[in-house]
Amino acid sequence: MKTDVLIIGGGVVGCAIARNLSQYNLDTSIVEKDNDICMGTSKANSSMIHSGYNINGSTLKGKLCLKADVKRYDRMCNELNVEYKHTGSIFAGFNEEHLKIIKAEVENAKKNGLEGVRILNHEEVMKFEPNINPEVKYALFDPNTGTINPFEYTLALAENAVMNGVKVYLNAEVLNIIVKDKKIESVYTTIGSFQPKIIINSAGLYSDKIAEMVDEIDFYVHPRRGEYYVYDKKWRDFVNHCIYSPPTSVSKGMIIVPTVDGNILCGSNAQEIPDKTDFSTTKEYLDYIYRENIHMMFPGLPRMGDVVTTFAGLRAASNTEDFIIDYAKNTPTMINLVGIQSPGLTSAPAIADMVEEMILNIAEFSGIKMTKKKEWNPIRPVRPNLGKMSNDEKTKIIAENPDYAKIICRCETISKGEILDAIHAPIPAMDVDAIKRRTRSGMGRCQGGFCGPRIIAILHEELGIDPLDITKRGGRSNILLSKSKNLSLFEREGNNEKIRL
Amino acid sequence: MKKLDYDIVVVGGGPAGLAAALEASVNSNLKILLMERSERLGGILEQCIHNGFGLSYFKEELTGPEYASRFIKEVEKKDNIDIKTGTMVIDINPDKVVIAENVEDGLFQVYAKAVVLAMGCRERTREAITIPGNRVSGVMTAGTAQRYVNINGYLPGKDIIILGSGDIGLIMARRMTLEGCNVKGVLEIMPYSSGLVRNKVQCLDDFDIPLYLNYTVTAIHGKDRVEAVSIAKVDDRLNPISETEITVSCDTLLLSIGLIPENELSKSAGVKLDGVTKGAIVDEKRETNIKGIFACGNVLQVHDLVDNVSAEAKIAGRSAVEYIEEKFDKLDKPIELKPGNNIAYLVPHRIEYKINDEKYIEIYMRVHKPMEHIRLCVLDEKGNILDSYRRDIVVPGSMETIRLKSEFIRNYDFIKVEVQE
Amino acid sequence: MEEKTKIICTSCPRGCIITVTHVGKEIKEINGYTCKRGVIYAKDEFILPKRVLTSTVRISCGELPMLPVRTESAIPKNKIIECVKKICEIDVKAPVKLGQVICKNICNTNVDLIASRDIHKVV
Repeated sequence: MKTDVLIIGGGVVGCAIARNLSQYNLDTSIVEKDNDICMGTSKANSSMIHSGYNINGSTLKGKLCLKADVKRYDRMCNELNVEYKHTGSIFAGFNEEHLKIIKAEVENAKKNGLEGVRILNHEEVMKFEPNINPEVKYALFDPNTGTINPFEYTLALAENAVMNGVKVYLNAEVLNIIVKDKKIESVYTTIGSFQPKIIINSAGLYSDKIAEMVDEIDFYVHPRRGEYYVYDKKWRDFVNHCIYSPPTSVSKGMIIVPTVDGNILCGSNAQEIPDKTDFSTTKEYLDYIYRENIHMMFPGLPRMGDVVTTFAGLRAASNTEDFIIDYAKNTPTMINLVGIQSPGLTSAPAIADMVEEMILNIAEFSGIKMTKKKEWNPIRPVRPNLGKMSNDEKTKIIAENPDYAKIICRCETISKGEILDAIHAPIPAMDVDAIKRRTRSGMGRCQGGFCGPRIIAILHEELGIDPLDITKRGGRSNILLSKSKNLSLFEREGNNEKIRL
Repeated sequence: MKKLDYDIVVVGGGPAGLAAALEASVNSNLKILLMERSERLGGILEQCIHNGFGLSYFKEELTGPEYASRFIKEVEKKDNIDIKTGTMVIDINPDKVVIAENVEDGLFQVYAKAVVLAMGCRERTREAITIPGNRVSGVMTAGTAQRYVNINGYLPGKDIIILGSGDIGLIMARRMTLEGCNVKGVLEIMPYSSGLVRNKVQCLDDFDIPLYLNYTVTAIHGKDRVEAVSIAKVDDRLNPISETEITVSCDTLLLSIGLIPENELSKSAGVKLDGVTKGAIVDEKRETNIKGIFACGNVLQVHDLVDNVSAEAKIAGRSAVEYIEEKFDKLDKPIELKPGNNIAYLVPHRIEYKINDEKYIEIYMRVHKPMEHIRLCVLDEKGNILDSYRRDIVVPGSMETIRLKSEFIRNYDFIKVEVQE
Repeated sequence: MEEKTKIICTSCPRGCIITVTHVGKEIKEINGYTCKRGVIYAKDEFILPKRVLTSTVRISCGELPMLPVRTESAIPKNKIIECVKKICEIDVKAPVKLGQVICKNICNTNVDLIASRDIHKVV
């Protein structure tokens, strides 16, 4: 397949770049190794849009984070119809040590050009956060921090890119890249080969592996795992701001976020692990996060019971700890983006601008012409979300399409119509989790116990996938392993091996 | 939005809703609406294809679908019951305005004089006990697996470990075995099984499936699908003992770790809940704190036997009629029922009305911990024993019932029930 | 030679472990029960343990893909696996009525396999 620009990796960075490039008369393609976009670092993180008040403004990540400011996010989220919640943030202090940090951060915020960052006394903190640990003495308040649903955001970027002509290939893992005379000849993937003029390597955790296919490299990516708790929506109003817990003797400080969806997200530790595919949570760190963060900051939150899920995310940390964004050493038509960890989600639009500039610089050499389209549509239309509609709006849409009255997910009240919309969207949902991420079906109290069988039936009817081939999230995550009435099962070897203790 | 008027709205078409609607219909000419979110009536009984239902209610042993069909056939015959299946109730307010939706009517409102809550319960999930590890496929509740197998005709796995000895877990151990799967064992964190003895014998022992008490799953392993789980013995405080941890291969982990009444709608109606049962606080008519809103079945308290659900639903159905027809005769002041020593909860929570010609009121309860050779004692405010009932054994997994004699329903502030040795 | 067989009584939640002392098939003594129901249970369970078998069979043209079935009465426990294998091979067509015989005298148990619900035909 011929294409002008091939973006490797459908995370937030790849999708933001794709959207920028979709303004040009270019043939742009994204290849993503998983069954959906946003399946790696972009999906599982703090979901915070940082203001950068506490960042070192002279680093690359500092510069890019500060560029992606509130104004930029307001405009972009408006265009993309993505909810962006201006929560503000609170860094809580319990002792003199913490006050020292707070004072230094106020100065740093000024240096970074941020307004409104100030110190709160005990009474003020309690007013801002009535449920916080009352031993709090003071806090740093930053009005510029916000939160977003990272998947929704990445999906919106990708969908808007697709609306404007970008192609997305799923289950397309890059196997090898062939370069000749400093120019890219071919990119082999699990779904076929591409002949791009420019490669954008936004492969996150695997960006070092991709870069290595072309050049010798002097950087590497090491996965740093963080675990998180998600609380039931009944705790919706318990926390008002994004909360930073202060460092303790054992922790560097963690976060608590009231998400746009009404849950409370709490995390996370930072553990160096050897395996880039190890997304497991551990009792050790879940206990630690509860003890050192959740219970310390909000003693009212329980350890169990109202936790709707726990998960782990892997940060794609580089050896420099800064973002590395540069042309490949010996292949100037390839741009590597490496070590995009926090604040990578926040910085994505600024990273996309930077990469757009870099492409403009090599356009001529690469043999592409960068002319802007006359009709670029920055608006990504919102899909019907019945949970956010008034009764009159609901009545109207149901009259047009009764599928919107057929409830499939009872906990989150998601209709068949909304699930069909997700299946037939610009980037189609093809597995159970993909539907869940787009519609929230299965995200509630019963965790898909009720809607799971029904969603499998819908995927089967709409896409013709055999129920045995339907997966939770692609790969070999099949949900059903056999039809019933399968005589051969009785004859299996070891069919009578029991646990013997 | 379409508006409808009914005397009684029953929310949920499972065993509780069916029995409540039927009883209300038999005792009146009131207009009744029965709403069920599934396409068919019967609720969870549809997938409970095993036998063991009806021994006390019908005096014969039936399967779940057979038990349900006895009620469904009666309900369908009644002229004063309208049935709406495929209908999701999304809100009930304290004024008994019910909002629901379905494909036929779209979003609609029902103005009801009385509402019977019969939404049943849901299963606790992996997340409710935060088992660490990977979020792989192949981990599901026993009830979800039961639906895949019995209704859809698919098997969620072949090599299975079951966590929790609840009845659904035990039933599924046998069911999967009868489909040719290998159920490697059942683990229970508590020192006793939470299911019925009969199910332990007929579902596990019959097929040589081991049950390990004081054991739990400590981690789930696998990249895409479960490949193994770590299991460990727990100490007295239910914490896993790391030296006992071993890893066992399997492709499926089924969970049978408890049921929780599905009370989200009750909350929107302003119904107060009991922290122990997680169901409504009710009087002997099964009326909640909101006048004219009644609750029965597993949404009120998780029952072991559907027979008790039907019996309780009949009370609620009859009470809804009495409420509309204003047949209630109140006591001067209500009598509170207080759980005492080793009693986890009592249902009903209070007695509000004068007793007519009944000889007794049935009181349901569960104990905290197993005990043998005890008495369930009814005490007055001063601690005098009014009545007592011998039991050879009481266990948390088995609901106890006593019949509180009508002679004791008089001028008490409260009556206590407790276990005495 | 006297032998002992342990039987867990399922008559109540207590689950008494009853010991049947026997020579071959002949019962000599029953111990460990705490009520009369236990004796009867242990005797029946020792002589010939029986169970009602419930399962599903494939059904075509119906509102559901599987039809729940049961044996009309209890069958010997040692026949259960043979019966479920037989059940794997059965195909029926909707409509089916509750109580309808699905397989007569299944595996020579002298017991019929019957449908435990109605399944309507869908066109």
